[in-house]
Amino acid sequence: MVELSGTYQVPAAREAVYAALQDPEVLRRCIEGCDQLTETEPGVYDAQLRLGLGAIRGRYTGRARLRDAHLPESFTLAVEGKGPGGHVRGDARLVLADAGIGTSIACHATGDVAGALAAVGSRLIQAAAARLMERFFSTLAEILSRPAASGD
Amino acid sequence: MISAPFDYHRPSSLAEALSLLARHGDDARVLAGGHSLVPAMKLRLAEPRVLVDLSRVAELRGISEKDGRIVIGAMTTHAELASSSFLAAKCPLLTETAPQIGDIQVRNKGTIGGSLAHADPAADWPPVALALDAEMEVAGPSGSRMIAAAGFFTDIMQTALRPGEVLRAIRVRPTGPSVAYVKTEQKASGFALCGVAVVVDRAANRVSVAITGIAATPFRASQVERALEGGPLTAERIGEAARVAAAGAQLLSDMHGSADYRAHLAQVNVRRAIVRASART
Repeated sequence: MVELSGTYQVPAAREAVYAALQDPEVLRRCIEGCDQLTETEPGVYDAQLRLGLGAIRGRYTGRARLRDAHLPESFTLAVEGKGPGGHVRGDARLVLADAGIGTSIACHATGDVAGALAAVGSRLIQAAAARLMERFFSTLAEILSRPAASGD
Repeated sequence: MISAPFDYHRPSSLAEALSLLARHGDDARVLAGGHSLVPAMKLRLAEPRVLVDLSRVAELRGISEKDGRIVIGAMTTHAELASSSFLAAKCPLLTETAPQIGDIQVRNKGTIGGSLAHADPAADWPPVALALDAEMEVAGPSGSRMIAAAGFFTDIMQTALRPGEVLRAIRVRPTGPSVAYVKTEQKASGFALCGVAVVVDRAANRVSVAITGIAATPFRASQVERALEGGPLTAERIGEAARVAAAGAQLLSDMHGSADYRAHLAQVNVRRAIVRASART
C-alpha cells in the first residue's frame, strides 16, 4: 500500500486550475513519462506511459476515471495501470481552495501495486510515486503561470 | 523470468562503447556488472532494446595512482576493491565498505561504477564517494569531464551523467586510517536501511559524514559535521552531534523501515561510525 499526500500552490484561479486538471494535453505534460493521453469518453482518460527510475523503466498503459466531481472544488481520479512488471490501482482525491491570488491543491493518493513490481520494487515504489506527484504539481504550476502556453 | 528481446554489444574499447551509445540513444543501456539491471530485465521492470556491455573494456578496470589521486576504473569489481592491499593502506574506507556489499556473487560481478551510476538510494558506494569528496571522471561524445561527488547524485536513481556518457573512473585522495563505514542492512537484499561513511581528517580537524538509505539520495550530514568542527572528538560531543544526523532530510518510509526508524538508525550509526573512525589511528 502506497499512501501520499501533499499540498501545492499554483498561480491561477480555482476555475482555471480545475479546467486545466481536466485538459488531456495539460495532464499529459504534467505526468512525467506520459507519451500519449486521450479522453476516450467524458471523464475517462487512456494513457501510454514510460515509468521508472533511471535504468529501471518500463512501458505501461493506464486509465484514469473521474468521479465524485464537485466543480470547481474537488474530484477523485481512480487510476488503473498495467505493464510487464505488474499492475497498479489507486485513487487520488484533489481538493482545491482559493489561496490569495492563486489556488492551493490538497492531494491525497492511495494505491496498491501487484506483480513483480511489488515483489522487488517495494523499496522504491513509494519514492517513485512521490517523485511523480512532485513533478506533476510543479509542472502544473509552471503551465498555469504561463497561460498562453497551456496548450489548447 | 525471461527478459524481453534485446540486441547485445560487447565493445573492446571506450571509444567503441561511446559510439554505440550515440548510435542507439535512449534505446541503449550500459551493462556493467549487471546485478541491478539484469534482474530488473528478467522481471521486465526494464526493457532496454540494446545493451552495451562494458566488461571487455580493459581501460575501465583497475586501480592506479596519478597526480596524488587514487584512480579506480569504473568497471573494477567490489571484490577487487575489497582485496586490494594498496587501497587498504591508502584509502581504507574503500576496503572496509566493499566486503559489506551484497553477497559474494554480487561482489564478484558488481562494479563500483555500476553502483554509482545506478544511484540506488540504499547503495553503499554513494556515501563513500561523498565522504571522500570523490571526483567522477566521465567520458562522453564531446570528451571527458569531471563531476564532484557532491553534485553527482541529483535525485532518486538519477545522476548528473548525461545521455551517451559513461562513468570512466572514480578519483579520491588518500586518507589516513581514521575512517569507518557502518550500516544496518535490509536482510533479504543486503541494501542499507541506513549506512554511514565517516572520514576523520586529523590534520584539518574535520569530520566528513555521509548517509545512505534514508532519503531519496545519499547526502552529507553537514549539521553533524559543523557540530564537531574544531574540537576534540569526545564521546559526549559525538553523541550530541549525532542527534542531528537526519535533521532536514526527507526520509524514506516503506515496509522495511518507517521514517522514524530510519532517523533513529541514522543517529545510532553516525555515532558508531564516528567513534569507530576516531579510534583508528
